Amino acid sequence: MASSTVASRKTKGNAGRKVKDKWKAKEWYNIHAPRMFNEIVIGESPAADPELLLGRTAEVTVQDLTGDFSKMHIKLKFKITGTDGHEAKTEFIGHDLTSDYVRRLTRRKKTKTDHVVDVMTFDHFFVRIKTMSIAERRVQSSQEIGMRSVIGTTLTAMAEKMTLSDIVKSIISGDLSKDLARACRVVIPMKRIEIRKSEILKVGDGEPESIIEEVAVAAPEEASEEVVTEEAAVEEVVEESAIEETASE
Amino acid sequence: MVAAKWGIANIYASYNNIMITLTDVTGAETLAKATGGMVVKQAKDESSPYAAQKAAEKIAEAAREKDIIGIHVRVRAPGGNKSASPGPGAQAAIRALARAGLKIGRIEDVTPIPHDGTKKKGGRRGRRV
Repeated sequence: MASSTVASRKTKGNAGRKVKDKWKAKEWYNIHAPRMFNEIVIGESPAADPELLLGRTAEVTVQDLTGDFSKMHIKLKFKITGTDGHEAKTEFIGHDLTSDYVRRLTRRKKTKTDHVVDVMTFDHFFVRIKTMSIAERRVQSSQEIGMRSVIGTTLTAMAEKMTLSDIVKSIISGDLSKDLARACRVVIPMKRIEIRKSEILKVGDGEPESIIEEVAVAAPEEASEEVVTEEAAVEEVVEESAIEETASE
Repeated sequence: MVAAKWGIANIYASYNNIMITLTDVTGAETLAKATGGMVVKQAKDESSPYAAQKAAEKIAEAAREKDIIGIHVRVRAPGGNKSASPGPGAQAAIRALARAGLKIGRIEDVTPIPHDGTKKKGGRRGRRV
């Protein structure tokens, strides 16, 4: 008994020492966005072994990638698939809207209709697209059902002709949601339709090509950095007051 | 190589405690963690803004050691069928991190919101104190 407790204490001590050694053994790897986004460095991750990097996911807003302020509510998810020296490659695995943006859109007495559609793209990617339509007023459930069927058919038809990069591009630019809103006009005119979330279920053939213009990225990347932090500071103040409000509630 | 590294500060602020975990951008590697209990003696003070501030200072120091210049913040309340609003420490922690000279990027609320799950504890007539 006594010897076992001593042994356990010893291992504990070793473990404590090991932690520091572990940190020293780790090296930082640059994470690159997929080719779809011109392989911009989106962050660093430490790991002792490059193998351990595989499967990690990083989230970036579109604003970070393109410098477009109006798109700061769209988050893109990248998963590390391989490493090359100290550079880690990623692939696009889906997007999401920030929760505060979704909450801002949803109001009382306005119908929110969600729908989930699985589509296959032209280049054989299986993508799950989750839409969210917000009406100005209450919508009858029969109209909701009609709208869902319209969204389902139009999305599948559209996706068949588009490659993955086309779809991601149109999601980010908002063209896809505009087209959906136009298609839904037959059933009921919609204030807006958002693509709330997308997930890639099955990877297709080939790597999707780049979708953002080189010009927009290369130069303003450094310049926008400063602006970002300033804006962040403003946002922080706003957020803080928001938190204060909720706390006082 | 001293690069401008960014990390994520995951702040879990409940009404009983505060936990701050500093990770890399993927969230897979923990760089430092601090809780309310590590900085105050009284159990009742664990969730206080003061504890949050102290914990955040600890985190900021660890961040500086590891060459992290900026952080994205993910604030979280207990969520689920528990309280959805962050505890009193959340705000103080963010402020202390900013004060400590770290750049603050995005601030996001990641409280888990159920799409309808289980019943909140406390029974039909609520908690009777």
